[in-house]
Amino acid sequence: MERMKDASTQDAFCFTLRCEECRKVWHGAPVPFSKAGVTPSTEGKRIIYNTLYEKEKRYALEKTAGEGERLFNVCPICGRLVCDECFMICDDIDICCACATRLNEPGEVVGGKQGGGCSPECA
Amino acid sequence: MSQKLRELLKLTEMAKKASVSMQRKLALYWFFMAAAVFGTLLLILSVTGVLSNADREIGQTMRLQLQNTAANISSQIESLSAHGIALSERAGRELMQTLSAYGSNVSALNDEPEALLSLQHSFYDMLYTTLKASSASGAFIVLDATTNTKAEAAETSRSGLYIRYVNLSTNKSMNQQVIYFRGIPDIAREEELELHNRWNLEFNSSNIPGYDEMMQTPVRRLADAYRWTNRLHLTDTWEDVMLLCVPVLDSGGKAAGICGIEISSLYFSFCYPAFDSSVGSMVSVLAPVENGQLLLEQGLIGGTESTYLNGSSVMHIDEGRYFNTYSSNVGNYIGVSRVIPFLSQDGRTWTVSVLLPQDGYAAYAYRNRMVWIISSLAFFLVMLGCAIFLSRRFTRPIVGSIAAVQSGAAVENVSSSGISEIDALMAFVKSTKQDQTLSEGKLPPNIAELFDTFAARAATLTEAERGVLKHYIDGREISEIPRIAYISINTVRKHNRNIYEKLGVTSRDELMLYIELFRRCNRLDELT
Repeated sequence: MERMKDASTQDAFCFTLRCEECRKVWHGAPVPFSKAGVTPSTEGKRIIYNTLYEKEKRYALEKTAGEGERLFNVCPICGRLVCDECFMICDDIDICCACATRLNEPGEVVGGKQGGGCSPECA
Repeated sequence: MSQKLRELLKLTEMAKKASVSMQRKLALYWFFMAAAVFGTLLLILSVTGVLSNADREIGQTMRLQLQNTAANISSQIESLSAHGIALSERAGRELMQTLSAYGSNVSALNDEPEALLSLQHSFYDMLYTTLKASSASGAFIVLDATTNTKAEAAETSRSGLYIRYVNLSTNKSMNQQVIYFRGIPDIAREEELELHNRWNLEFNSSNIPGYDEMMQTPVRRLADAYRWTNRLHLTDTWEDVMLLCVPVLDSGGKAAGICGIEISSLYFSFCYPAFDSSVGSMVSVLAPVENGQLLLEQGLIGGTESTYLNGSSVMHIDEGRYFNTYSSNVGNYIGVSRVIPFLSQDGRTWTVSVLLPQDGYAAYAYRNRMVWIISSLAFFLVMLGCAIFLSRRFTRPIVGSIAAVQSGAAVENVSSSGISEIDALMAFVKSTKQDQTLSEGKLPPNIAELFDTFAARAATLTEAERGVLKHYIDGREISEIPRIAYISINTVRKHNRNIYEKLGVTSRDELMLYIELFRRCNRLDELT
């Protein structure tokens, strides 16, 4: 979750993950703020809305992190977070393309024919 | 017709092949076993003689014989007593007529041979009539007087008349010959009677038991005054007799002499011959009883054919349930007794007894017991044989079925045992054999081959694929694996495709079925 980058606005929450091999960015699905477009009428409301904003943002972060976990792989050699295009299925252990190249380990790229998983809404 | 016969044969064969309930077979078996136990009990009782009813049968037979014999003897004694009393009365009247001419006392007739001869003339007719009319062997009258008071033995010599049958038989025929035993021979000459070879003119009163006592005893009624002597030996002869002694009264009511009737041993034995029965010859005995002893030496014995019973013994009596045992030095006998009314000279109790040699009884009882033993043994053997036959027939199909199963023959090939329960058991074994094989860790040959193939395919999985398979084995869903394994869902899916291809399964359900089967067979380690 700590690798998630915050790309939220005043009206929606959005987080991104970046493949540490190919640098491609994946945007999680944006989550609209429940009070988006509502101007606090009082100072008290403004404080309440701010607190509510933080709370909903935490929920959105957890949700997006769950999605990201399903799309990214952790290389057991170098520990980097890589996308399917940069992750290989090898005989003994699944590792990233860089480690496979470095270790001369043959394998099959998981997302060989598929592009990155960036969300168009966050582009 | 032949078709019907064939159908009948077919039905019979089917009935033979039809299974019979074990309960029914056991019931029949137990019936024969119970009968065999009953036969054993019968055998034991037969050997111990409890079942033999020989004693009761013999007792009944002897009691029946005793009833007839006692009735006949009692009747005879009663009849003889009546004849004796009648004789006494008639003799008394004759005596009184004679005494009217000589004096009031019989002693007046001493040394009066003419008077005594005259009296004996009168007495002969009385005695002859009495002898012919009664069932006796002799009759006599003795007067308390003698023809010669100066003779040597005048004190015991008494004038009188005694006639007897010489050719005894039980039939009262006209040819029975009377012999003259005592008395004045003039009468014998007149009546053309033969004198006995031991003839005497007068009686010796000392040879008549109770003579003096009877002469001195006042008499009220003749019916109370007569007495029977014990058996006594007739002097100078080979014969034994019992005498009925009735006092002859003078005009003063005093005994002036004795008259009576004789029953000889020979005559008694003719009258009461031995009774032949299946057990042996039964002998009738009239004898006194004293202190638990039967005094044969003082009584009369009936016919003794082949019983070796003699009249000189004293028998000790042991009372039994069905009969008594009589033991003596001449042998042991069994028998029954009955007391009869009998006025004896010494006041003892007289009985009529029926005796049977114990040897004959023992032989009969042995035969009877052997019949029981042989019958019981035969019954026991037959019942035991049936029980053994049934048990063998009962166990043979069971043992056969077990042997067939033990020999490895297919349950399907084991023929019907003929017992419904065993057939049901074999059917159950047949139906559960496969499950039983699985529970023992063994698999049917086709399933084992399938398992081996699957395990061989699982061996071709890479470590990464094996890691994913482990998650499936642990029961994880495919969606759970990315978060746990830090790989993407696409990586998981790719592994999935590879696993399916290598293991030859087409769905997750099929894969999970294999995993479950390997788990049940404890062979999961072959997959991981």
